[in-house]
Amino acid sequence: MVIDPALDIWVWATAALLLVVMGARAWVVETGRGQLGRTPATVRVLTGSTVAVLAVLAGLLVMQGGAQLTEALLTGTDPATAGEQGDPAVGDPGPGDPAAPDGPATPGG
Amino acid sequence: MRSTDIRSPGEGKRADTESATTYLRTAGADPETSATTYLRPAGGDPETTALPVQRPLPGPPPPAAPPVEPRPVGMFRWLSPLLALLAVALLPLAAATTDLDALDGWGLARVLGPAAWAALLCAVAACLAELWSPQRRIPMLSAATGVLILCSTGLPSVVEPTARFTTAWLIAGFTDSIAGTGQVPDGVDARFYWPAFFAQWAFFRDAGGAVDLDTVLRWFPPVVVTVWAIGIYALARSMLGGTRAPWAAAWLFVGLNWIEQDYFSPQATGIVLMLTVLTFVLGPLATRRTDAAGVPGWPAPHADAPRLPLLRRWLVSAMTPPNRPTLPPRQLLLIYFCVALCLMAIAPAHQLTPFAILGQLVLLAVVGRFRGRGLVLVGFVAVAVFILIAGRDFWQNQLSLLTGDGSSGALEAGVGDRLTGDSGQVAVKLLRIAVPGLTYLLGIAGAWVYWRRRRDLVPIGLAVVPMGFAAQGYGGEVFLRIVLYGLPILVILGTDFLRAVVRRRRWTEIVLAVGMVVIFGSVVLIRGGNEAYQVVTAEEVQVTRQVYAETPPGQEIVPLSNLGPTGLTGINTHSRGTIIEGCTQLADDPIPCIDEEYPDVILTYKSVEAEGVVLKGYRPGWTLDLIQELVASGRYVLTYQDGYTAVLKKPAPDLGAGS
Repeated sequence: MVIDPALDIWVWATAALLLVVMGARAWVVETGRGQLGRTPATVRVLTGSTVAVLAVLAGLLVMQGGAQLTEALLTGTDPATAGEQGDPAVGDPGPGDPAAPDGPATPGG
Repeated sequence: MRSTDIRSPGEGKRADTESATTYLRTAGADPETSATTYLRPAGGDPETTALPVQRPLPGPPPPAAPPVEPRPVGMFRWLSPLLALLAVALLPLAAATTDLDALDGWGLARVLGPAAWAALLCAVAACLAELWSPQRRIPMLSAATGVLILCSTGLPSVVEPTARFTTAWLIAGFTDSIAGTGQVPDGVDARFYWPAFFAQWAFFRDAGGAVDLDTVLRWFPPVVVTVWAIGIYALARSMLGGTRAPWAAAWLFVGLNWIEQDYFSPQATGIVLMLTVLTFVLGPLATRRTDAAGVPGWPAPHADAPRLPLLRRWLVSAMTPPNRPTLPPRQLLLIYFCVALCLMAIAPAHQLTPFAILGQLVLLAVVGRFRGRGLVLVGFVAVAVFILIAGRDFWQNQLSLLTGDGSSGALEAGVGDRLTGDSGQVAVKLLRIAVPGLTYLLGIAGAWVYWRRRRDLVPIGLAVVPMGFAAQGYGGEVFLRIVLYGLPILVILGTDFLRAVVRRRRWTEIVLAVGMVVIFGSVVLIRGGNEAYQVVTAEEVQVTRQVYAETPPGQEIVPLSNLGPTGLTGINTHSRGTIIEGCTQLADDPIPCIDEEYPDVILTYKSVEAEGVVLKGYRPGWTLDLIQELVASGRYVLTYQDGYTAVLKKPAPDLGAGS
C-alpha cells in the first residue's frame, strides 16, 4: 500500500474531529439528567458519531502506514531494508540511565 | 449503556408529596390510636389548625462533657523546623568540604564530608519529628520533605558546581539545536523522533531570554523529584488514607528511587504526566469496585461469603451502571480535559511512558475502577496517530530498535554483563541489583496486606504492568530501569505493609526510623556511584563551548569517551563521529580507533581518565600517555590542556609546502 503524505492532513483533521465529538458526548453525559434505563437521544447520536469518526480514522491510519507497519511487525522485516529510503544510523533511542550498572557505556544513552 | 440519575431517590418529588399529605401529631390523644393521624384532603382544602408550640420544660442542664484536652505538642513544635533549618545550613559547609578530586570507584559517598552526612541525618530527623508530633502540620511536613529531597537526591546538585551526567548535557544540546534553527534536525539521534520535550524547553529558553540551560540542568533532579513526591503523596492519600502513611510513602519513594531518571530528560517529565493521570484516575475519577446495591464483585469480599454463579456475576457487572464520582459535572469535565491533555502530551515526548500509562489505564478500565473510560481511547489514538504519521521516519528506518533482542537479552545485558570495574564499582552495582529486588519484595508483601484489608489485587497489577516493557528489548539496563514505572505503586503497597507491621508492634517504629536513615544513606551511595566519571566541571563546559565556537561547521569533534559535556552544543553543525565496528567510542581501543576515525578535534576530560581507571582497569595517567603519543606522532597538536582536560586538533595544512 503506497503512502501519500498529502493525506496526512486528513488524519490529523479526523483525529481532531474525534476529540471534539468525544468531548461533546462527555459534556452531554455528565451535565444531562438522564433517567435510569434510558439513554437520551443526544447521547445515542453522539455515541454513533464517535464510532463513525473512529472507524474513518482507523481506515485512514491503516492506509497511511498502519498496514505497512503491521506487515513489518508480523514478518519481522524492517521497512528500511525492504527498499524504502534509509536513514543514517542513529544513536540508542532509549533514555540514558546514569545510575545503571554500566553508567555511561551506551553511546548517547 | 443506560444513564444514571444521580439525584437521591425521591428528590424532586418530596414537595408534591408533602403538599398532598400532611402528618399531624396530636398532643394528649390516645397514643395507641391517635399518635399520628393521617389526614387526606377530601374535596376542598383541609382546615388549618394552629398547634401550640411545644417548648421543652426547663430543667437542670445536662452535665457538660469534659473538654478534650489537646495532647501537648511540647518540643515537637520547634524540633522539626530546627532540624530542617540545621540541615539546610549544613549544605554550604557540605559543598565546601567535599573533595571532588578524590572521587574513585565508590563515587560521591567516599568524598562527602561529615557536614553532608549530618545534613542528611538532620533532614531525616526533621521528617520523623514532625510525623511523630501529636499535632502534625502539613506545611511543616511538606517543607521537611523538600529538605530531605535536597539533602539526598539533590546532594550532587549542591556539592558539584555544574550539572552532572553526559546525557543531560546532550539533551541540552538537542534543545539548543531546536532553539537555534526552529527545526528538528534529521538523522542525528533517534530521540529526536520524540521531540516534544526538547521543543518545550527550547521555547522556554527563548521566552525567558536565556542563552543556556546550565542552571536548569543542575537543579532539575531535586525539583522534578519533588514534583514526583507530590504525586506519590496524592496517590497514597487515595489508596491508603490516613495522615501519616502518605508521607511515609513519599519518603519511601525518594529513598528507593536509585534509578536516577530524574535528570533533565523527557522521561522525567513523562513520569510527572503519568503520575498526574494516575492521581486523577485513582482519586476523583475512582469508582467503587462493587455496585451501589452491594453485589459482590470478583473475588468474593469475604472467605465465607457465598459466591454467585459466574454467569450471574457477569450479567450483574454488565448491567450495572458505573458509579458516579461525587463531583459537580463541570469539575468532572475539567478533569477529563486535563487527563486527555496529559495523555496527548506524553505521546510525542517519550517512547516508553505512553505505553506504561496506557497499560495501567486499560487494567483499571477492564476492572471498572474509574469513570471516563473514553480517556483510554484518547490515549491510544494519540499514540497511534503520532507514531504512524509524525513518527513515520522512525518506524520506516529504525524499526529494528523496537523489535530488538527480546527480554532475556535485555536482562542479561542489564544485570550480568555490567558487573565490571574496581571493588567500589562492583559493590555499587550489586546494590543497584539488590535494591529493586528489595522494592519488589516490599511491594509483594504490601499487596498481600492490601488484599487482606481490601480484597483487592488491582494495585499489584498496576505495578507489574509496566514490566512488560522489558520485553521491548532495548538492551542495556532497561530491566532495572523499568522499575521506575512500577515504583510509585510498589512503594504505596510497601507503605501499607509497613503500616500493618507498626500497628501490630508499635516498637517497630524505631526500627523503621533507623531503616529510613540507612535507605537514604544507601541512595546517596548508589546514585553517586558513577560520580568519578560523571562529574562535570565548569571549566570543561567552558572549554567545550569554546571548541565548538572555534571549529568550522562541518568538522568532526569527537570525545575520547562519551563523557563530559560533549554534546552541549553543535548538534546540527558538527559531526560527533561515525559508527565504526569495534569502536563504540575512541577509548575502546584508542590508537586504532583514532586512526580509523581520524576526527578533526579530540576532546578529553578528567572523567574519561577516571572511567578508564575505575571501570576498565587502565593504569592511572593513561589519557596523558595517549595525548603524548598522538602529539609525538604528529597526527595532532595540543591546543589546550589543564590536567586531564585537553583539546587535540589536527595540525593545520602546510600551505607553503605545495608551492
